[in-house]
Amino acid sequence: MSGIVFGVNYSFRRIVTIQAAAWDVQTSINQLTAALIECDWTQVSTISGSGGTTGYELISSPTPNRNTRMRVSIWWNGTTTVVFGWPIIQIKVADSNGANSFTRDFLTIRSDLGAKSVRFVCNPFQFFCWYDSTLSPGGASYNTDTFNRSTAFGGVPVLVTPLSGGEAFWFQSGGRDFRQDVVPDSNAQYAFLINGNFKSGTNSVATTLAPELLIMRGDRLVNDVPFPSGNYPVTTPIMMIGDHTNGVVAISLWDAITVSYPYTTRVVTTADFCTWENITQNASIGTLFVVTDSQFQLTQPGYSY
Amino acid sequence: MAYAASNSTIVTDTKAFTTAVGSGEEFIQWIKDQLVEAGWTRQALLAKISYTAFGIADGDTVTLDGNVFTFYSTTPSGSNPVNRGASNHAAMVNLGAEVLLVMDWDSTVSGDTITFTVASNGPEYTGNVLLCSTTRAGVSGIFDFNPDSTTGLGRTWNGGFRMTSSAVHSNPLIIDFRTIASRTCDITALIKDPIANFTGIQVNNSWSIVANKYQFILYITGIYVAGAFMLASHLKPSRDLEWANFVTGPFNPVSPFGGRRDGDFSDLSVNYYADIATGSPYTDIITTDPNETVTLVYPGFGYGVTSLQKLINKIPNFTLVRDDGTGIPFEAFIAICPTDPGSFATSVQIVGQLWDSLIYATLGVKDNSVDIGGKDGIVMMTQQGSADISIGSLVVQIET
Repeated sequence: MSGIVFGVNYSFRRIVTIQAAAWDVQTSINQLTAALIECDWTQVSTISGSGGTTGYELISSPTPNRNTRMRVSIWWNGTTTVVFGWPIIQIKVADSNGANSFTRDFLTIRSDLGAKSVRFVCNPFQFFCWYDSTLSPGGASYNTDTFNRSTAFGGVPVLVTPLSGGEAFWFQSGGRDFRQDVVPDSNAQYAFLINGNFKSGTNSVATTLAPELLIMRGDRLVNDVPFPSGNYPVTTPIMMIGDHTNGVVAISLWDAITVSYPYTTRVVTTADFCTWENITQNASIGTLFVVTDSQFQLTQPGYSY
Repeated sequence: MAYAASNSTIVTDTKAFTTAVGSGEEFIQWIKDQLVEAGWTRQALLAKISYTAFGIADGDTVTLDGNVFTFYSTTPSGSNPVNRGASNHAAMVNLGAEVLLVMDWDSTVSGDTITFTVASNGPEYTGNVLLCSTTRAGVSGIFDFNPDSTTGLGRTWNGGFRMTSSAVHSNPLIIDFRTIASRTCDITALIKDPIANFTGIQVNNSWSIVANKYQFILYITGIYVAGAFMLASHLKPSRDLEWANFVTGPFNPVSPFGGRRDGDFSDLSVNYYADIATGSPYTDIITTDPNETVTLVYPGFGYGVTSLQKLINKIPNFTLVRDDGTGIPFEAFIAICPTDPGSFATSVQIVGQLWDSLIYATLGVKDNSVDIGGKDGIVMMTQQGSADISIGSLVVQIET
């Protein structure tokens, strides 16, 4: 059987994990950009931001065989929180040509908390950004208000369509997003492009499925189902995107797994010669784990499989 | 875990049966032949022979495999005698179980001589006490499948075969297939210890079977109501378990309950037997509590917008397809309560996988052919999705 396998879709490429600064706008932009470049994203252009800051537009590394890419821009346009006036950095996702774009104010810069930082994990095809209170000052580990923003997740997915150059990407940020659950709530912001279908905005449209992950559950159960040992199933991430008119499809993620159990604290573990860390906390169901370090990081792009 | 391939011969066959006398035995013979070919082992089960009792007297003889046996007494110590003309039932009751000998031999009657033919692979006869009768006047003895009848054709009944699956680690699944006394075509599939007695299989149909060395499914194409389905599996156990056996089927030959696939996946839970290594074997029927319902576990999703509905997906009737439009196959994980949910506060756990089976998160058509990993498969069960229920099809591989 081809396509989405029962195992992990390892990229076997460079994975960068950092605590990116979130106490200064330019420092934050520089560190996020540097992390992406270190794992083979390419800078396309610079962006003149507010207050003399400089932002950057980058393009991801081509995915194996299909050569699919996406663009990500990180900069500050001067937006601040209504109360306190803290800067909020922007992120824009788009296809490889810069079209089908969506912009989100995703990272609140807090200079009042000392050395606030956010967890940033990226590989040549995707990125995950979230805040963890055990690693940085700054409050609760997930968004409970609309101004302490710290999450952005996105990338070029694992696809099975043998369509070289076909555009595709996914993005999610805010509300009850992957930081809190595998299923976003109606406040989450999202964007996706698949099979020529681009949708973006707030996850409040009944006929559109913002990126969400499936969990192993009984066919008529809402709850997770354990093994007799007390462990829970681990599966290849199955992400659903689409809409009622154009159809909903399942795509997958790189260097990630879903565990059919709702972890509520930070978990760091090792398996398959990789270090894994959960993005999702405070979940009602299921947890998304990503590779934060791997012994199988090839320096040359491209491989056969 | 991955696809639970049995790596054994997958046997399929279809055969029609009727209500005629002997069809139950024919059905059992057919099951036995298919399962043996699939890799199960068999053991002949002793049948019972009942005779219309014309009376037993000292000196009466019977020839067994060339050996002549003579009755010494019809009155065991402490029991009442059996008078001439007494019914066979009365004879059995009065003479007691110690006198009743069960055999699985073919027999013929000529005059007052009953000749038994011992099967070449059957058990050896070791006893010398019989309950039977002959007519002293030389009239052919008449024996019947109905213990209390005085007419009918002579044959054995309640015999059959004990079929034992292969075992992954230990504790294979063992099922006794027997004919049911007094009914011409009905059979019972008896699970030993505890006794789960699936008596509701409606033999009078065209039955199909798909079997491997661990599992078999009996079904009727196009008929999904109670009595038309049976699934028995020595599951591929979860890594933490030594064994997990599961059987679902019907009881009650007259008004079958269970053994159906006209609903959804919960049909597996209507009437079932479970023997999970971490608990005690038990039988149970479906309850309203989904946490106690035998369930297939896969990344399916329902639809809805409230907090408890699956995935808060707002769009109904979606099937899971990949970006190229193909369906996604999932392992057939099955979750069962390790102990009787009727007796203990317990919830289902993933105890293993069905063999040579997958779940597609699409709504298929039962009995339709599908591809399963490049091999022929068949849609065995289906489930329409709803707010809290995942859409899906259970597909079974039928090609080795």
